[in-house]
Amino acid sequence: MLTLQAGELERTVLDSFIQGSKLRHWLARPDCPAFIKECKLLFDKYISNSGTFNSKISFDVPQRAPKQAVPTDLQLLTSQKYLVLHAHTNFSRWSTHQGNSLIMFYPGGNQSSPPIPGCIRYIFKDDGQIQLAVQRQLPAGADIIDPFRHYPYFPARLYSSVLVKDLEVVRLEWVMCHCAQWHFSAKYDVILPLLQVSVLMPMSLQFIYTSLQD
Amino acid sequence: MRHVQRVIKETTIPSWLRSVPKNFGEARAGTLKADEWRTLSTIYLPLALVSLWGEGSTYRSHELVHLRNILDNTMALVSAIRIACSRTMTQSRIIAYRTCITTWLSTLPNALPAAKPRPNCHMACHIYDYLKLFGPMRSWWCFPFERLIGHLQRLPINHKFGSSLQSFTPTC
Repeated sequence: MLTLQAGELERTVLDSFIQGSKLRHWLARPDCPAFIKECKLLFDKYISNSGTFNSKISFDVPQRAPKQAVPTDLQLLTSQKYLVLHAHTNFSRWSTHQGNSLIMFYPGGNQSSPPIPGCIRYIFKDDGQIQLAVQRQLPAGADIIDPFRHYPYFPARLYSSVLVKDLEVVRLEWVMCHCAQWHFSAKYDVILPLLQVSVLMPMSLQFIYTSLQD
Repeated sequence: MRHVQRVIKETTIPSWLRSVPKNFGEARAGTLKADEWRTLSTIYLPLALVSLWGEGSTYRSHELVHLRNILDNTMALVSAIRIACSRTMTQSRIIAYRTCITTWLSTLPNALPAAKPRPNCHMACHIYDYLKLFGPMRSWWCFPFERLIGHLQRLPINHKFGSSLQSFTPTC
């Protein structure tokens, strides 16, 4: 409980809060320098809200992720025999976090065609670029009535619950957003694009991956 | 309500999206916060209601007409919320917001005759003006100040002001 004499304390808290809000606003802007955004990631990673500093900061950053043999289904997409298969930010493999592996992406980076849903099976680095190995979700058949088509401002649509067997390469810049998925019936899923993603997301993935490689 | 709970439980979402209690609607679930209401009304509720009452559902014809009216009315409100919460705002979105919110208000007496008009309904129409004047709602909504109030309420006070400030500062 605050007493009536705590006005100065509240003012200090308010000033700190406003300054923090302005800083976050600046960090979210596209013209914010990349190295400042990377500083934020380090700050978030090593200084928790409890105010305790992680003393391992100088030892954790250069940690090297081990390379693994390329899985059989990924061999068609890369000439490498060993890759680092790792990512622990907002994009994940299906086996790590199902929700973080569901994305809407533009096939071939062609933004003139509508994005399609897919599931990330692997995240790997090839030719210096982080790439996603994705299984796309098949469209619903013409015989099914999509009850969501009547609501143009609610972009959920029905898709087949079957995934294409073959993997395809998707670059990070081809990804539009995450999506929510609900099993509408035994044969069909509802896919709802979630456009409110952070603009920092691809950068954060890039940065953490890079730091693991150093 | 069981269907809504099932949708909440079974929907796969990314980790950055805050979900709502899986037992929503029960007393033990407590009351939802504003952010949870937004997630419920823009994701779970539309999925549940459209799958329940939308095209292709099997109800008797007179029931179906009434339920479809409620669904269309609710979806007009859902659409208005989604448009208003967009991170970017355009003239066409502002007009779409006005269309959706006026559709919701004009069809409300027919869909839910027991619902009485509230001052909030009138205020929701003025959001159209604010979107035109100030841009995306995220820039001027009051949630940052609500968060600040939350910080202030949670401040540990033992009449030693320096130590409480020291413990709070890293959270800003």
